Amino acid sequence: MIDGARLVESALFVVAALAAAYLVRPVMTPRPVPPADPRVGLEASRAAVMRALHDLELDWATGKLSDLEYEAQRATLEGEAAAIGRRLSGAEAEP
Amino acid sequence: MAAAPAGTSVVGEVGRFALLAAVVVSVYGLMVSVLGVRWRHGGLLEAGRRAVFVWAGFVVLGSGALMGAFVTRDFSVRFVATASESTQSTFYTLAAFWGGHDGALLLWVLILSVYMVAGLRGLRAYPDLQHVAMATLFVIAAFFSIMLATASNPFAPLIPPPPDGRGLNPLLRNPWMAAHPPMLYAGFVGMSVPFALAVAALVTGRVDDTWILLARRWVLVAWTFLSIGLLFGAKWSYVVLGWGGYWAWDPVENAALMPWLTATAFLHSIQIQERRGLLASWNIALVLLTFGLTIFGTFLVRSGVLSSVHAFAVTPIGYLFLGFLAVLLISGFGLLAWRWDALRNRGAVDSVVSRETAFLANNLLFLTAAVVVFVGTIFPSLTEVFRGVKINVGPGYFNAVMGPIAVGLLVLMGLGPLMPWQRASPEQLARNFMVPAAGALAVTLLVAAAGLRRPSALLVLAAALFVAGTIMLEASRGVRVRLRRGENALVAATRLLARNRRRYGGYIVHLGILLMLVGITASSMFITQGQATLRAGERFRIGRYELEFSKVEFSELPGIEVTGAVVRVFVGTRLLATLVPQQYFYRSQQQAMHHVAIRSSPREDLYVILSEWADDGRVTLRALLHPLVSWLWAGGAVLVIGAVFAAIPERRRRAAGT
Repeated sequence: MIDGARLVESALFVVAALAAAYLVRPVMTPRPVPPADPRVGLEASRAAVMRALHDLELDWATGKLSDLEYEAQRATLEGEAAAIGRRLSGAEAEP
Repeated sequence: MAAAPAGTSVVGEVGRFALLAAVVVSVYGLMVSVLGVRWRHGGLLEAGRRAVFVWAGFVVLGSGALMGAFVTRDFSVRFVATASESTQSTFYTLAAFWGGHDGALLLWVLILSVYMVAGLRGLRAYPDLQHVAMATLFVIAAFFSIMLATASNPFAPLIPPPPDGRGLNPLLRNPWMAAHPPMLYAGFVGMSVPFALAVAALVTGRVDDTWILLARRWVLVAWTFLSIGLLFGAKWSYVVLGWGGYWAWDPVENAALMPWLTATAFLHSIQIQERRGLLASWNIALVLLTFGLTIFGTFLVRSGVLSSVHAFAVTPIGYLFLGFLAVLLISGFGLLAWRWDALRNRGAVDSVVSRETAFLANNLLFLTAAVVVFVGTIFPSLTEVFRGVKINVGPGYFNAVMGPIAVGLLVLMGLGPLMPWQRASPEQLARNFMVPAAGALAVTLLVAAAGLRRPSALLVLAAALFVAGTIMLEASRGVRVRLRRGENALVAATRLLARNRRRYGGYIVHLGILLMLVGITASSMFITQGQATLRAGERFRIGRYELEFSKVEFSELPGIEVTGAVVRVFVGTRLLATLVPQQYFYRSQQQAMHHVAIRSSPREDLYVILSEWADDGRVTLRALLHPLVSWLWAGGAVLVIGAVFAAIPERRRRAAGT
């Protein structure tokens, strides 16, 4: 009959060995590191500008801004969005 | 593998193995992640990712082993013998997991493992940030794993095992307290992910909008848990401690409040960065500070440097936390100084009268509040160091300073959202604020005329009405915009909320805070108390209620002797309720605990305590009337609903041409 404690010890030993193999294996296998994608930051910036535009629309529609201020702020944000769009297009065109 | 000490259990052996393995894997994960980033070695980085899962697996195994030790009442494990006993209910036996220092630390690590796995998944689209963030989280994981495996090992053996355990501290045998630590820790530990993201942004130089957009949701999730934890703690204090209050400016309560204050400041100031390109360095500093304050809170609970009803575990490892905190803050702020030039403002504040100025003022007030709480909390330690005697500042200091700050924040809560970005003209200010301000003033004057004469209460009421007015005005204007598009009122309101979750989620949170502040003000300023010693059939009056004592009841629960006084509550001649305030006597701990009886309504809480009883059948009852205290709990629920709503991602359609 197998002693219960001995069985648990053996099981833990197997778990430790499997974990070690799982952790060490990739170190032995060379794999390339993909370069950082510049589009990720640009997408985040675009998302922020789009949210700002959406909020601006609602602020204007609910009377927090005059037409003049709305047009000025909208033009600024659209300019930022266009600039980000151009940089994104450039990044996407790169091989 | 080392043989288990004689007399210890298998489950203890599994637990000790799991914690030791967690130390090895966390240190390995830290090393391969750092080297992988440094050498741009894909294999090392992959090993780091795998280490997250393996480490989490060992932490789960260790937690399962501890839970198993509790369920099987394995008193050969010292912590189990300390925090449970054979007569303890299954619910509190399971909750005993975090009912003492060592288990609470394991819970901390278990929650960290969940956040690390979630973080690994949530950041997979941002590999450069992910790698550094994981290395940072491994620093935290390694520190806590080492603490667990050495100085605070919950599997430390107890030889020979006693026939029964000492049992969970009776103060902790309450459902609110059972749920309080997991919620609070989910908040504390959750702040580690934004901290790691901030460090990653600084190390990689990616201090653009990416990290801030990612950090916002993590902070919001952690902030929500922290809010729930604070509320549960307050509710526990209210129903268990038997003093009739819910917040005592206790050092450990303060320790949880400080990161909440700085995280709240962050949730406001990131909007200025997103919208105006300002405060980039300030936001990073707030995130570093917030996580630092969570570690400081852990130090306060563990070190015993401050006396607290909550400091259940006093251990020498508290000072290791202080050292760890110093390392984290020096490293974080050092990186911030290194990247200072890259964090310059992209814009400028155009006008003093603008939303960004209101948010800046809000941030200054939140930070001032955090500093006030910090100073008040550590003051006894400072006086002990410099004057050799501990001097507590007491609730008077906190209430005197925090009251005006709370009113200031309340007013800003009304002003900020209705102010436009960049600048506001006098006409806009009049259009946005005239109606809420006039309405608040009119109602406040009416209430004053009706007999409420306390200036501070009237001030809070006026500010609260003003904020409620601005929220209603803002919501009604939004709905009207959609009504003009031909939508019916229900569809308009639903779509307005669904398409502007951040904005309206924020307003719902504000509404919750409003309700809470009204509840806190009314229940603390207008409390009525009474006490009487009664024979069966005698009555005493408190407010509009008459309390009639009927009889004393004695009963038994496993390990507990229960004494209750049956009290009939009348309003005039009408029997409103029968309450049974009780005292529990825990035999193992030889400790008595009040079980207060509460009749709650939106108008007020009637809170009855059985103070003592005599052999001749007389009882001494203490009763309190708390006006509007249920608004505090309702407001807390509204706050959580708003926060969850605001955390749900919004889907945006891309505007044409962008």
